[in-house]
Amino acid sequence: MRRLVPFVVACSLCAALAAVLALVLARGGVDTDLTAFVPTPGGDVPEALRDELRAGLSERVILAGIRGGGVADRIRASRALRQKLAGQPGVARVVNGPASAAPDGLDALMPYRYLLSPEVTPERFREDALRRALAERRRELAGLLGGVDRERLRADPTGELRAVLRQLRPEVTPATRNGIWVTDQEEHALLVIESRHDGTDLDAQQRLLDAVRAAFGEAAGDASLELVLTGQPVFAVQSRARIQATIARVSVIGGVLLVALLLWAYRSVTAIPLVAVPLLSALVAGAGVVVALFGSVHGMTLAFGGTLVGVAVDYAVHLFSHRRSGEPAQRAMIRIWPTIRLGALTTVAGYGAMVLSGVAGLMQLGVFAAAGLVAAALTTRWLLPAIVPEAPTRRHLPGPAWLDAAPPRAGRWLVVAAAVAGLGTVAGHGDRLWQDDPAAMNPVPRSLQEEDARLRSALGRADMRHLVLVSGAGAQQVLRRLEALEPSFRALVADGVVAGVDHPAGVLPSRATQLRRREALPAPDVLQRRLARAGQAQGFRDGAFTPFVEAVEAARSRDPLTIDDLEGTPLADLVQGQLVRAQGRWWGVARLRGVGDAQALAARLADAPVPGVMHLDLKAQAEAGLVRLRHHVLGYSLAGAVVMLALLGAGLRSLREAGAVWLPALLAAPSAAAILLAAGQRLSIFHLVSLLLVVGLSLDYALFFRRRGEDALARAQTRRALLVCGASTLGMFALLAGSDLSVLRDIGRTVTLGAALGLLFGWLVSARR
Amino acid sequence: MSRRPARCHRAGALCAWLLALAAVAPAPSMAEHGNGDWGLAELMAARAEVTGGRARFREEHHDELLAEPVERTGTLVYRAPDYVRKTVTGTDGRTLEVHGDRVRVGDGDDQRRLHIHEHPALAGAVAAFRATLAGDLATLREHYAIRFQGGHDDWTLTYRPTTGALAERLERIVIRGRGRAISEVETRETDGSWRLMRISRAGDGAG
Repeated sequence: MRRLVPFVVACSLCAALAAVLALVLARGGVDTDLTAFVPTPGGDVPEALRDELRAGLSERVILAGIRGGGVADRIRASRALRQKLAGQPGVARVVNGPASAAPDGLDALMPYRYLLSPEVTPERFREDALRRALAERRRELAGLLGGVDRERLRADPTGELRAVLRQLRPEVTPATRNGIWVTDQEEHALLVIESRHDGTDLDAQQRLLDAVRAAFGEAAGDASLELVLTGQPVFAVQSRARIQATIARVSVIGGVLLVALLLWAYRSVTAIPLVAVPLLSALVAGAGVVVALFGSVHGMTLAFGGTLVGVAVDYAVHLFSHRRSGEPAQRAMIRIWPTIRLGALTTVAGYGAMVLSGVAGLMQLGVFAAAGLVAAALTTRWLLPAIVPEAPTRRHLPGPAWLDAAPPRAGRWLVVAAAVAGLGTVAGHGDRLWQDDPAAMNPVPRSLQEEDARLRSALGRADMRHLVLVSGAGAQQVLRRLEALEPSFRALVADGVVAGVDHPAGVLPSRATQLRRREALPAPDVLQRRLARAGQAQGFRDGAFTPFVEAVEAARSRDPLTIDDLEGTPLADLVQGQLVRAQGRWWGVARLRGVGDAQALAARLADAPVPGVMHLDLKAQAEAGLVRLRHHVLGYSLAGAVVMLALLGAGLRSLREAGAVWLPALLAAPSAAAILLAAGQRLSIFHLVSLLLVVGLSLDYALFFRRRGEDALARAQTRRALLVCGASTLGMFALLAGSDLSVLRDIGRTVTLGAALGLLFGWLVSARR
Repeated sequence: MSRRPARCHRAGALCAWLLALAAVAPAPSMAEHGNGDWGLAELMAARAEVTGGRARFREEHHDELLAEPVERTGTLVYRAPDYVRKTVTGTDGRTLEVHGDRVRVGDGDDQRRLHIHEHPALAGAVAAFRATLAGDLATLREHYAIRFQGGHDDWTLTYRPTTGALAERLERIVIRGRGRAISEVETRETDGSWRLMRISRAGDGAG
């Protein structure tokens, strides 16, 4: 019964720590905004505008394709699916064809047609132009059988509403069959579903996706149809599910292996929860300090930081391994504490260097790792000895005899040779070293990405990559500047640099432009006179166009439409996210479609005759951001490595001894990287962070391998402790290496390789002369 | 349509009695049946076999917006199942072409492309014309209440629009013909405008 007490205490402690961690995270909140990790040159795009751009671009849009069955089945299912989804709480809009794509209530624009139409000039209302317009209307009357909209024809014979609508409609529209969007070969019926929820609200997106699938099940009926869903919400939800599933699998299998390992090594159930105590303390302290300093913790900080403090598991293992028969845990702790303390301090300094980077995400990561490791070391020193059961059950730890083998005399030269080969391989890879394409790190499976590209191109929704931002003191200034850019945009299209440009001034002209158009409208008596002659010439009866004359007269005194009047009109949706107020300025966003040569585009836009113009290549920005992030991590890690050497020198009171610990630990990283590179991989930021963990682990290995002033028993205990440390780390990360998610696989492979090399190098240099 | 035979089956006796009555009684106005053994179903089945053709037409158009009636001539082209083209010759000449859901209006440089489902009334007019040519009863019923009168040698089809946008503008379309050939299309609009298109065969089938 007494032996059960420590077990219960340890378990309760773990549960309490887990509860505190959950509380801290719930209190502070977890961000997922990646820009925290992407260093940007100061102040070019305001944060608020970034948010707006992201929200307006693609985060809420689900693309759906229905395939299988016959064409008629697919079209029927598309109609039924739209009907079932429309009006569901999470759904903002469902579009499956041109009829549903047209914004509602465009008739509200009818009164403004003479101010909004780009065709309105004085020439348009001269007698000859009116005559040509009426001749066209007369031909239109022929129609196929009839059914011509005579009211529209009488009120708008010059076709201004049509000109306005042309501005609003996207130029690329999908093919259709019976009014339903289909891919070119008609093998998919296409729908676009807009979620009402934020892209980051994954639970809401998950519910929406479930609702869509359920509705599709009903819509498909007996037909053997299949639903393909893609788009950001789908990717985000799927990635989360896959990551959770992988982590769950790794945790269960790894947990069983770890439990077996600990039971074999220590014959004690209490060891199992105790090993987790320093790790959980590290997570609580890391998250707590980050929340206290930054207000919230980033999801990436949690993931990367959790990886970096993984070394804390080893602290408890050392305590268990180094106890002698009948010795109180406290005394064993005191013996190994200097080594653990030096290892923790050195690692804290190494990781903590990232705090100086100035990049919010990396600062968080540095703080998290430093606070976490300090907490883990302190917990190991002051808390664990108090809980560990009284007497160890065995005199000697199990383990094969080769564990005690001395390394070859040429050990250190082997390390040097391996490290030189590793560094040579890394250097030899030059420009094939880094993976800077964010798409390659995408956890979404390639088949789904291809499906997405297919649906996207069929729907004419190319990913928005190139934007032109135009800023100004007020909305009107922005609109005037966009209008001044219009000739440049047209030239870009004419020269084939871009396929098309959509910008808010095309939808909502500036006040000045609207007033100029108003000036172009003739007085009623003038218009009446010209119209009478033109109408007679084309055979229209008198008074056929009275509504037209009245409308022009009304437009002559109509106030221009401004952004304040848009509330509740279909234009509000179209301008939303394209005309944005951020940090006291207004920003207009022009979207460029079909950009072939990004450099040519940038050069042409640099010559734009308008101030306040900025070209934004979102993909290039993301890539450049990753490169900068990598430079920062690499630079501050190297600086951290120098600090580590200095600390080791001070701690071990010998620079030579410090070097013997520091070099093998540090060299394990490039050697692991070299193996990955030789296997054809490129290194991403995920590899890099994993290599930081490798350095931390290897440093502890090397420190313990070279512990001095101990007897043969202590040395045997150290070897066995390192065996358990290494086996637990290698086991966990080898399981991750088998994941089908590239990110987790990269982390798993890197740490497995690196930790194995760290152990090997540590052993090879462990001999003293 | 699909529910009708089922009802017949359930109330088989009543149906048989009605059919017997129809056979003996002269009931030329009976919707969809006509007299004798030629009815809407037979006409549609006959039309469905036509793969295409070309015809000339002459159209008399009384439009409320025009001072005088207009007379147009031109050609019609049909290719099963979903291509129709109406070309008006002369001073008011222009082409209107519908292929699937896409409409092209005008010739040469002066072309406009639109989508029939963006214009409900246009979709209705296209359906009346194209679905009749193709014998596509299901599409016709989406837009119209249909009445068939007469027999093989002289039949009349009357379409009355049932959907809002179409019914606002169009009062009815009356199509006359003999066998599977169409000879006249008369259109009456709600504002009093009307037109009569006479079709003369210039090949097989379109008219």
